[in-house]
Amino acid sequence: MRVADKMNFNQVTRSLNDNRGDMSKLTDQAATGKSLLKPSDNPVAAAKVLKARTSLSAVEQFLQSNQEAQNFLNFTEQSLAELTDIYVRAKELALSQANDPSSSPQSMGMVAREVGQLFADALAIGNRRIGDKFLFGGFRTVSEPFDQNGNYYGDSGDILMEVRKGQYLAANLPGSKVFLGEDYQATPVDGTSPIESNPIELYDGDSKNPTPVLRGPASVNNIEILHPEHEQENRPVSDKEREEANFARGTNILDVLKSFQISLEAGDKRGVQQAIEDLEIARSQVVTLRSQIGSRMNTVEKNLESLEKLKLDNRVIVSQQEDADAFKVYSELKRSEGNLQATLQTSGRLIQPSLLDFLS
Amino acid sequence: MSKVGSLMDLGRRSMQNSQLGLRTVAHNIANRSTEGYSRQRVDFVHSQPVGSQGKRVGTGAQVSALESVRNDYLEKQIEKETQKLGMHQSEADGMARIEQIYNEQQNKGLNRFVSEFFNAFRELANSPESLPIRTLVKEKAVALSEDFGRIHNQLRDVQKDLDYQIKTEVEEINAMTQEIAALNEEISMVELQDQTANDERDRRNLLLKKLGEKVNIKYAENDEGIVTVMMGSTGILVSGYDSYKLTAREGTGDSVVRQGNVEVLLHPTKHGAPVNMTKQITRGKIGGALHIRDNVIENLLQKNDKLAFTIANEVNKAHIQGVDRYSKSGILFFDLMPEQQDAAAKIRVNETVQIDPGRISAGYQPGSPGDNRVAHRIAAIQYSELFEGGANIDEYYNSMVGEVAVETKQANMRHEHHDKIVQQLGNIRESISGVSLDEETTKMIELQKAFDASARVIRTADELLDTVLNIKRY
Repeated sequence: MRVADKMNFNQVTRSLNDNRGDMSKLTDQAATGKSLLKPSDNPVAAAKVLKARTSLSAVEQFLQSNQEAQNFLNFTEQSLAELTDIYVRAKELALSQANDPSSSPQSMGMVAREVGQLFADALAIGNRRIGDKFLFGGFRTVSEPFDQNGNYYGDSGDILMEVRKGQYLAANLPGSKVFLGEDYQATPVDGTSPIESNPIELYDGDSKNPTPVLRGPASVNNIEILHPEHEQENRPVSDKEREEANFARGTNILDVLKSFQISLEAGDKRGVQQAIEDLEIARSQVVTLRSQIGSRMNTVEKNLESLEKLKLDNRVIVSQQEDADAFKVYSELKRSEGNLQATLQTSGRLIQPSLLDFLS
Repeated sequence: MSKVGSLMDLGRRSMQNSQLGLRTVAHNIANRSTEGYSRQRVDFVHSQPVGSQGKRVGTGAQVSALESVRNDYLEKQIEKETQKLGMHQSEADGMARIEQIYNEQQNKGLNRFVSEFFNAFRELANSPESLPIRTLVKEKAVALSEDFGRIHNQLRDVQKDLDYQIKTEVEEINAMTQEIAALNEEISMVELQDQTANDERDRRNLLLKKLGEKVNIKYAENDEGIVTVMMGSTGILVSGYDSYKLTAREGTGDSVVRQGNVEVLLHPTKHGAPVNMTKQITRGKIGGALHIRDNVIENLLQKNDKLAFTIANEVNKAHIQGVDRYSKSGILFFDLMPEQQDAAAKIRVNETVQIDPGRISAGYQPGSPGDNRVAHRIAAIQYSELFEGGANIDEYYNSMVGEVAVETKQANMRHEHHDKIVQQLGNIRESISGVSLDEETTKMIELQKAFDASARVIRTADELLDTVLNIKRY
């Protein structure tokens, strides 16, 4: 083969360029610790990283929402626990007054004062705040839900939090449920939920005791499968069930306490006896709601756990795809350094001699 | 006597031949770095022998031709591959710049602004009463709309740079076609006198290759050595001794390109109407630049517009149904956009919202500061299947980035591949036409020796003459 001088020079330039290019890329990788610097370095990996990053930013937001919900639920739970204690104490008082043959109007009056204090305590719980939000006002979170007489000014709004992608959980209990007993056993959210038209999964994620939070077209199946109560609706209603349904209507627990107090003040023993039953109903209403909160707290806790794991998983994906294998990079860097040296040396030899060097 | 004289003459001509050979060697050595140069070779043949005393005696050598060593077919092949190389090169360059716009690896890309925008609404859902969070929502929305604008502007900037590149290339093309026409004239003049215009042809071949690197051309040579150069399928750039000018002008928007982008026009006559050649340019650097500008970038601009338009519309739809912090009914969140065209450049957060973020709606029910349903509904837009194939906003954008990445990688690979091909062909060309110093040096020694020997012949003839003249003395 005929080799012209220019071929040699071109070859040298090209090999040097190639070597320097390799070196610069590897140096970049070693300096940044990343093997993926531009999407085109590895489109597939870049797509994975992008997806994981998007997911990560959502997961972080959901973690925050869950924590917020957890605060809310914890505080609500604590309040309901205190409320239960109040009704337990009130029932004790009612029992002692009803069964004590020696009770006199004076002693009843004393007890009435204590019950009055209990009423005030219950009211204070109703007006409790978390941060600057009222806990039991439904959507009306910035004004006191109860006045001194126990009239309710809040509404029945469920404050939803997006705790996972497309899954919502009511973080509060409106006062209308806890104190007025309005459908306190119903699922936490009404049918006019905001995301109605969006086809997303619409139950709160607790598979043991699923509570459909929202109803949308896509969730119809979920609700049917996971919510057996719906299937029972068409059956004839038995007496027992009717009784339970009446029970489920709930009671105004503040009224119960108030009328107990009035009965005591009036020395009405019958009223006091009636109050025993009413107070028991009130207590069980609060306990029922408390267990509802408990199950939501479980959901939130599970969410926090699995979201933390998801966060880690996504971080791992990002790192796997874009981080450079340090050992590999350094050894390749060393190798390409060697290549460059070899190229330089051979190039020197290749270019140097020509016949002219041997003519004197 | 005449015989000795002819010996002298033979020696003289031989010395002239060697000198010519040496001059060619010198020319080759001088041009060993000249781009497009083909080494030249002197062809010696023996001259017509003459008869004397019944024997035919040789009369030395003569130069039959001074020819260039060149493979014309190879030259044409190189020119053809160079067209593709030019195209792939400017495609790879363009894609590298586009990729940088979508480089989420290093920059905070639109993707994160979208996430932050919707996360701000989730935050608002967690505290729907809060004014500070509304300010956060506003700020994230402003940042989002600005990033849409950033992408739009950067894509337009790349288009403008490509336009500038096209303009420069067009200028260079005009200079080259002019030179080719001039070379046509020179070559045909020289070759009419039965000589070969080696250097001019080298230069013309080089120009044709460079022209091919810029646009897709075809050319053919006639018997007189004149090439006709055609661009695309109808545009004649060089014919005979004449070249025709190209101009690059900003499009008016009524034709094939976006308004303001450059079109390439050919002026076939001095005063006649120019012909729009933009669609015929499919290869070369300009072809690649046009492809990036009119297909790739336009497509991305459109998708960006669609994304901005969809987000603005969907958010508005949900937002307007709610009530704001003052229980007033909802207003538009983003300014209303009548059409999708350039939506990414026009998307703005409603002025009223910008002045008072309290106008941002979080819920439906008036007088219920804790109502967060509208905020939830807006946040849910992020995961709604709004685009073809059931893609949501994130997936739509991510697939856009994926396409850019794949396209860039492929453009790079095609460029590298063609670079190698052209390199290889160039090597073959050098192997045939390139100058080798060793070879030239050898030739130089050979010719020098021949020159020496011819001089010795003359001296010998001189001595012969002397001998003859001195016969009488002895």
